[in-house]
Amino acid sequence: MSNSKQTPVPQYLLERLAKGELPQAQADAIRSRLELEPGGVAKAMQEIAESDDAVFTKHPAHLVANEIRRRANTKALPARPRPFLYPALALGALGALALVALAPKSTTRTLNTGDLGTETIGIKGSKPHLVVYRKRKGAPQRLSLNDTVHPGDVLQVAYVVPPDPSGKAAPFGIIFSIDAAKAVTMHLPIESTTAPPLKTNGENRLPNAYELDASKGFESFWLVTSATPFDPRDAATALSSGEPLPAGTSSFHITFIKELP
Amino acid sequence: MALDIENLYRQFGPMVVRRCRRLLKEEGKALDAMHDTFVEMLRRQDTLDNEAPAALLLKAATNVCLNRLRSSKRHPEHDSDPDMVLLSDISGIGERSDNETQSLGRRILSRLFADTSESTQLIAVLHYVDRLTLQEVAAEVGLSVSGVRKRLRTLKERLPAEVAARLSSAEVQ
Repeated sequence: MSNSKQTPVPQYLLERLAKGELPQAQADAIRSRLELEPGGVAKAMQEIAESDDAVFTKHPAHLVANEIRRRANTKALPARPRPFLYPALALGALGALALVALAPKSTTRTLNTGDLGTETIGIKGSKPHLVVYRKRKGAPQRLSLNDTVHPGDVLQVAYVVPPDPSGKAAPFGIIFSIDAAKAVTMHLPIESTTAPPLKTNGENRLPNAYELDASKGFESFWLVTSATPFDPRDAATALSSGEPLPAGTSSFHITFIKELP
Repeated sequence: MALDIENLYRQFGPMVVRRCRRLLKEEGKALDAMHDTFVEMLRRQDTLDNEAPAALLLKAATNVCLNRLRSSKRHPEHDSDPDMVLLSDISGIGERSDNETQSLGRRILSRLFADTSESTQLIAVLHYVDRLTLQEVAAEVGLSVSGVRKRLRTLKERLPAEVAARLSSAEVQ
């Protein structure tokens, strides 16, 4: 930072300074730089405070918060309609939002998973999580967070739920994926309105593998668990609408970048 | 616990507004981007890191604004604004046909609240537009200075010469 004394303090760092988030040494250094500018630290902070007041005057918190919530609900709808192929989850009172969210993507094919092998891998980690494999020649490839996937890739999803050390019953859970268009595909359960109990005997692969469709952006797989049975629609709807997941549930997700060839 | 979005706005809303104004230059677009930044916070609340919410919001707002710039038409009146030219260059990286730069663009779309690495575009904005030094950028994104330098060098190598030159001219020492 040899030129720092000649360079105005970036607004980005001023904001961080004002919120008290900068490490002490960096904060001290920036205050020193500010003291070389007209008005020093006091003027910079005063300007931020005045700007804050002006924003709140024009855009009161309660109105902005309402608009944010409205958008969170509105934007949960996918950009394009998806054929409804999930009649067992006709949603009734939950309305169109959940209906669209739970409709499996017509372009995602489920495939028999036999050729991906059936070996059981030991429990890793202490919390419920997902493991996703990509089918390829030879052994399946285990995917990591933010790996790149492509349309046509065949993915096998598995879950791992460690047994509770205190002997509590196995949790209930659902698995679904969501893509960049906010379209949700339910992978577990397939045809039920109740989250099934999960197995705690290591890695449990779902009965079907999934071929990715041609949409681009990302594909994120979610595992939602709870000690008590719950309705999969509630969790999927919550995610789609930006609301908190149902009380008592925990979640894990893993996201892959989906690119066109 | 559910995210109290009104309280979050009370704490950080004006900061996000200023960030969006700085990057988008137009009040209407800035307010729109501010709202969507908080929408993303609601959507990702289960994965939020509460240790540095201002930094998180600033980065999220930056990414929202980059997405807006990428999807909007270029305004001729912005051609006289060096920052807007740079932002247009940076936001357009994802639209290039080159596979690797396309990958960068896609990644920023899907990593608004990524669990791991910061995007090269965010690094580019912080360094070339916000004028943070390499050291300051490194501190913000959790990389080493050499790591930041390498990201930016690689980025420039993949860009057309005139764009790379514009970025170089905005270099902060």
